Amino acid sequence: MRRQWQVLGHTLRLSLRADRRTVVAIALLMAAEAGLVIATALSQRWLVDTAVAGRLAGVLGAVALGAVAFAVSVTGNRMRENMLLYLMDRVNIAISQEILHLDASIPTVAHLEQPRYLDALDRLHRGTWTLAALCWQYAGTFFALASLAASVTLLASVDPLLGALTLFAVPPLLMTQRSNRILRRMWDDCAELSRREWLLHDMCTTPEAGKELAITGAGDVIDQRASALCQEGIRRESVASLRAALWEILGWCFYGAGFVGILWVLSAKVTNGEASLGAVMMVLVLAAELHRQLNRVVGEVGSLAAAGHVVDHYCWLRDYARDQQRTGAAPPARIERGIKLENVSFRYPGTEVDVLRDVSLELRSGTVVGVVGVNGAGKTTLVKILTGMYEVPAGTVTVDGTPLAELDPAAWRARVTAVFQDFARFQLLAGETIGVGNVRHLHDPTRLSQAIARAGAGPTVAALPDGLATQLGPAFGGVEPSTGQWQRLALGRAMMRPDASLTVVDEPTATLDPVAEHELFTQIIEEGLAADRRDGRIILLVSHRFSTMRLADQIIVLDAGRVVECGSHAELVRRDGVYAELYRAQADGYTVAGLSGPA
Amino acid sequence: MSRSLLEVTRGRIRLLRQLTVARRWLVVGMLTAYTVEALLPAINAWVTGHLVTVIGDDPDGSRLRMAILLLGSCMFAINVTSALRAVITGVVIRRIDGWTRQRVRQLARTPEQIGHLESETFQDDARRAADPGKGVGRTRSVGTAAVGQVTLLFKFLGAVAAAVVVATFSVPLAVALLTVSVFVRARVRRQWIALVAVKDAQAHNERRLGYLTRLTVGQEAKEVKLFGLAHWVTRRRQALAYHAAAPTWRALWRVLRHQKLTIFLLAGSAGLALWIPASAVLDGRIDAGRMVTMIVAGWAVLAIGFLGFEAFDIEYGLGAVSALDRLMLRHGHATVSDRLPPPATPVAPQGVPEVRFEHVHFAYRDGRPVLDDLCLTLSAGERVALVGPNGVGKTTLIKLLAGLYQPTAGRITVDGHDLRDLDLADWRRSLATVFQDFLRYPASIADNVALAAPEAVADRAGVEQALQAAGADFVGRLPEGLDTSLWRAGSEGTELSGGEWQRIAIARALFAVRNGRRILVLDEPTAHLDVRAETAFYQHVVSSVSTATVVLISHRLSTVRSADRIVLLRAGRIAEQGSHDELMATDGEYRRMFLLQGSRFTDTPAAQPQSVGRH
Repeated sequence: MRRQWQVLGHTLRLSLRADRRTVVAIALLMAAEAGLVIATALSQRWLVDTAVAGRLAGVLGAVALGAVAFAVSVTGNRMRENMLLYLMDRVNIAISQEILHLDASIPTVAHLEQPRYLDALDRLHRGTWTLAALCWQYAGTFFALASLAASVTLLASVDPLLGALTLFAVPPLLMTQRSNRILRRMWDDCAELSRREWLLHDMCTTPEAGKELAITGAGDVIDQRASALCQEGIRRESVASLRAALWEILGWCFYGAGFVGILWVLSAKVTNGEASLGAVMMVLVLAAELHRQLNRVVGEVGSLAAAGHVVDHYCWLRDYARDQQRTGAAPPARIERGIKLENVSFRYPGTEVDVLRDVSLELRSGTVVGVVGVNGAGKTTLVKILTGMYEVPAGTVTVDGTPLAELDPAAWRARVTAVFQDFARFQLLAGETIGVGNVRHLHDPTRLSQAIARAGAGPTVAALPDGLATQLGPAFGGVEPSTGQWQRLALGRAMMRPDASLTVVDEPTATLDPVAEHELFTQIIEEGLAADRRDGRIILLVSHRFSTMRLADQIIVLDAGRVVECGSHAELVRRDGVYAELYRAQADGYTVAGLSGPA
Repeated sequence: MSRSLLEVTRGRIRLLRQLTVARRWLVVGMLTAYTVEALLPAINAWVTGHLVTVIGDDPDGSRLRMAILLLGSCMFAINVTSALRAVITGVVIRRIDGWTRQRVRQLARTPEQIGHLESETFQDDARRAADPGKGVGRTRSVGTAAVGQVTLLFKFLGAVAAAVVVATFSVPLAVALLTVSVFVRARVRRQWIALVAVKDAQAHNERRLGYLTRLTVGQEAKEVKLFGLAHWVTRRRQALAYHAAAPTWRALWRVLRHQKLTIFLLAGSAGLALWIPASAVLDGRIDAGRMVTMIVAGWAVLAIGFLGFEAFDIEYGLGAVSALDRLMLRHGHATVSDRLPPPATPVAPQGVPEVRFEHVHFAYRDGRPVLDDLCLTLSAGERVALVGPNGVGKTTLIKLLAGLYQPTAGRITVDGHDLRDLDLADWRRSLATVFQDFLRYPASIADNVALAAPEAVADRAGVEQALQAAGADFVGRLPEGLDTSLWRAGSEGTELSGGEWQRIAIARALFAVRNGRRILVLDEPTAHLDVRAETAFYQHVVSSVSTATVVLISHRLSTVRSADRIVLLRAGRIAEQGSHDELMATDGEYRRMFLLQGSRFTDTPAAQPQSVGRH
């Protein structure tokens, strides 16, 4: 609860900072709206009473009050909502920025790869509105309660029994709650049906899926299944909403009985001369509104509870970011000895299986190191650890003897560059997609062209309609490069840091044709092997294709999270182990008959 | 935005016509509920006044009791009708929307080629017609618009009914209240809908904002961290956020400043609705009960001034139905069920056909030529490998073979018959393909295999055999076996690795061959397989197919060398062809490429083929 107050205070400050005058205007309108039911009820009482009594001044006063109340009820609500939209827009931007900054300050990616955290973060990003609106939720709750209390007081002022009779509105309220629960459960239930229907629908209407559907003739089946899912959704919704409506109708039965009871008590009082005709008008207005007022209170309290979840996510991120803050020594500008892993074991948080087991290895300064292994051997995890995306819970990673954990994470990252297997496809301008590899020199044409040259991305860029100024990504009206082209651009991005201490290239060739693959490898390896550029730099190549590794100074063979072999190509072939077996399996495709031909 | 009245009416009627796709009894039920709902406020006004009248002058109380019960029933009826009406309209909306989506799917599949699916116009219209629009806390669609139009009509009916009650007291008051309310509504509607248009115009910036936010949590997040981009992204996002919001904010404040006339008119009309009956009481012309009736009825007339969701729903839905109408106009000439009758020369049902590409040219709609005078024969039962650099048109060739595109020039023949003269649906039943981006159905493993031959979707034994032949042993280890759902986003879905999915796709093709497909096309079928599986692929999978022609596309020349014939494409035509040994015997590009790939397995690097260009 204390946290919720803290966050409440925070969002209130943000609101005030965004636009003080609008905050005041909204608060005033809210207060006016809360008084509307009362004002309308009172004006009707006065009108009837003064008209019957023939008091002109009273009638005029009542007419004026009623007219203003009506105008406010029609326009005030819309004005307040839209002012709130405007204010929330502003606060929302501020909060989104804050969340992004918090996220940015976390050095590792553990929270971005675990479904549980990712889900919390996703809800937080979608819930920024709720956070922005938090102080207004409290205000709304307050005014709804005040309005309800005023109505009950006014009824009780006519007769205490009438005040007590307002309790008749409680059972209908419970039934409305029940009916809402039925509907919510149905919507949750149908959400999956509907997502699946949309997926099938999209298959029928997109060209990527359309080609296969047309050939197999499965389009009819998919269409029918989508329609069947829709029908099933309609069936469930009909049943549930009918049930919900029946509960609500039962509620109205109670409410109607209570309403009649109130009129009964009231008309007895009027007959006895204890109440005026005006009071009848007032009670009619109040009694008709009571249900809505109660529902609003419950609704506001309910959304406060829902906002509580978002507040929890927000506080989690804030605390997590604080706990993850690390500073440390600056990494060496030039690695003298190398990077060493000693007895490193790793499992992803929330899983039961070690992805790396007791791994010890050394990446010597100034060498090209290859890491091979079949899928699932732990190659990519090794890459994530070396680039500081994860901290190791067991074992140590040292850079020239200094534990990686003691280096400043951001500074270490600045000394590292990489092309990942699932490289990013930044839908920016082509020049930016490359340039963000070194964001300080994003618009430096010299560095950009050097990086492009080093990555061999010249032809790729030249093939784009507007060169470096080409917008990428059809969603933004740009072009969609092929996978190979994206990969070139990613390599260019990595090459924006030519003096990185560690360059990682993870599985780059899965989708490339032979010529492109060859070009890419010679490019990277020649770049790495060039004596004048070595200067202590380490190049790490990761692949499940063995042919690509021959030129590396050192090859590390991973299998099921362990280092099974390590050495140069010649050494490993002599050793005749896993590496030699898999290497031969691939090489046979080219050697047995191929090179016995006229080579 | 000035549309003629005729046009507006036509659009509104078009929306109402959409109601015909819901069941008739539902529509009748809905209209009945709406009618009752529209008339009740007028009745309520009369009953309320009646109660006030009898409360003063009924000594024995029987008329009073009657009046109280009547008023209670009125209140009850209003709320019950509205609850039931909401149930019916909910179902009507879902039916209309479901029908619309189904219609869009049909229209997508009506043309026999797939070129239209790639056009932006089709995609835009298909999305606009079927996708729900965002409202605040609710969705908008053709269905909500059609129902919204009904809501609006009955709101007017309700206002008129209440105005009739007022007119029994004062015709000028009734006319004035109705006129002012309708005018205020039109004015308010114009203002706020214009605001929606301003906001919609920023949709592309909103998309961009969403993209920038996702960058920090999605697949790109790793690189955002690595390259320290977060601050750059957030700064850029902030600037864009303010930039995107500015027009909406400006327009919003403009509207907010222009509420004076509306407030004045509303207060004035409400004042009249209260003052005129009250002054009549002061003059002694009517009693208190009649005054109350007039006030309650007057209020019901003014209710039309409230602008509900329906105005925004209708606006959105008008756009959606015109998108649907455009789709129907362009593609709706034949529906799936009544295509043209099968042409005169059906494909011979048995035997593997011979396919010839005769001087085939093909260019995409942007004019980029892909195939240029291609001549290629696929003999019955042959195993042909297609190789060549990325983007040379290998995948396009498959699409032409399947009749998904028409050649721009030249022709493709099947056993001598021009593909254009064949019934395409029939012809496609002799094809099985594994595309690089094969489909991942949100369905069970069994369905994922069997949908390659939908007519045999229940053949579980066949599915099992196909999976086995494709080497998908992992299926046996899954607790639910063939029934394992592969829809990861579903509640009980299983995620497969890239290699596992690839085996499912291969099984799919083998299942199709088992069910009579005579030409099997495999496009990069080993890209995600590991070394051991890749080296065994040809022997285990390709060689096992004995009843079909096999076309194998691959970058990895080691995987295609056993093919009967290897065809090297370059610049949209055949550069070289022959068996592996034949091609190695000539000093051509294939040999160079093969040696190049193989060179990384030999200790003496082969000729450094820097000269090998890409085209």
